[in-house]
Amino acid sequence: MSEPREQILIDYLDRVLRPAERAEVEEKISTDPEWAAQWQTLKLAISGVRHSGLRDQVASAGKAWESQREKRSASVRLISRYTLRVAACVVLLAGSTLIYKFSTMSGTGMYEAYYNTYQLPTSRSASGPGSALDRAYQSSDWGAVIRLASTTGTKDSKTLFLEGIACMELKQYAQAVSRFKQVLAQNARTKDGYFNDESEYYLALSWLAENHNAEALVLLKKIKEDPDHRYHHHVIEMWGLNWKILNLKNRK
Amino acid sequence: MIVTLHYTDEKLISAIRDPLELNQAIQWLYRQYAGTVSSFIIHYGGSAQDAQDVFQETVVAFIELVKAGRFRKEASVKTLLVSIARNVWFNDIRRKERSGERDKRYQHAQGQQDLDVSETMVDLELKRQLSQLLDQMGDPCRKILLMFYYENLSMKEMTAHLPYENEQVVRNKKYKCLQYLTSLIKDHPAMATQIKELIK
Repeated sequence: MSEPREQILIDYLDRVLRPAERAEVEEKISTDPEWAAQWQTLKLAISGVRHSGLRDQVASAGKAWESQREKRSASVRLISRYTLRVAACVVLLAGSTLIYKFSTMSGTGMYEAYYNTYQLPTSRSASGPGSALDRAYQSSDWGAVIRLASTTGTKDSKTLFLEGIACMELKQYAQAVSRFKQVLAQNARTKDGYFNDESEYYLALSWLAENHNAEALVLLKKIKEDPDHRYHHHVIEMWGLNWKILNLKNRK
Repeated sequence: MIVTLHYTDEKLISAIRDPLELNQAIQWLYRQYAGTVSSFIIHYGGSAQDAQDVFQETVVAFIELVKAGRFRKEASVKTLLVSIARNVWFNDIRRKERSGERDKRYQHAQGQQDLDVSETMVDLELKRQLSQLLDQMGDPCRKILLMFYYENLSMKEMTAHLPYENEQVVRNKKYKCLQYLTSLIKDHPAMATQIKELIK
């Protein structure tokens, strides 16, 4: 073994010696203090190298973990920020809509949204004493309808009702209310249901037109709760947020 | 890479012993225990950076302990990590000479359940000093020694990654670097004492 001691020990450490040479080195380490000291120094050096390698690996894995955590936190923050923004927009929009609806909602507005001219059915416009009135009505000659009705001696429910509709068309809502009320009073007396449902519905709309919302709401609620009422489905369609707001405003 | 594996204590120990699984095991340790250890360090006056450094040291010490076959199964990994972290942290503040504050905290912390990790702490301190010597050598030597003795690369593989002509040049360079490191160790008083202790 002519090579310097350290080179031999490094070769021994690196496992490049033949078995016989290895045995020789092991013998030296166990018997010669200088060889033993040199061997311990080498082992210490290698343990230091391995420790450094492990520190590097742990530091690198730690950095990767930190970076993942940062990314996750950032994406959670980003998602939260966007979600909050969207939620804020939705709340703002819904709030604005509600405020706008609340401030602009009125009986008149509701009336304008839901009023449709009554269509006189053919069976109810048959020839006879009322046929001039029917023809005037069907030709939307509202002035003629009112004139013909006023010249009629005893007004039946149909005449009063058509006169009421003509008043509504001419925006004479107080008169319309009066005519529909007359129909209902007359029917109550005679126990007749002729043009009763129609008069209730259009009376409610006339009240809305006049912003007499409390009266309108009572009547509309009655129609809503009566599935046999001719205008039940109309009122169901109308019922919703608008009515809730109107009701709320009315309570104030 | 996102760690999706779940390790029991037993599987974790086995993963640490397998070089191919070590990285995943380290990430698992971070994911599972970094929060607990950091809370402890911050509770005892450390900063977030202190907590990060202490956890890194803790993981290194724990892995070395496992690789040396000194992990006793009577304690859980979590208990052991917290014990190591506690000792690493109090050694740190002892080094930084925050004595008054440290003594108070240390006495308080000693009251808690702790494992005897003194041997690990002595070992860790020695290796920390050895690492500093390796750092003194400069990048080329550090890199060559790490490639050969930590990454277990062959001379051929090392030559492909280093700016040297052939394997023989790399072999000679590695030899000189290791000689240089042993000379630094011999010149270091604490290391010299350590070697004398070892050959007694």
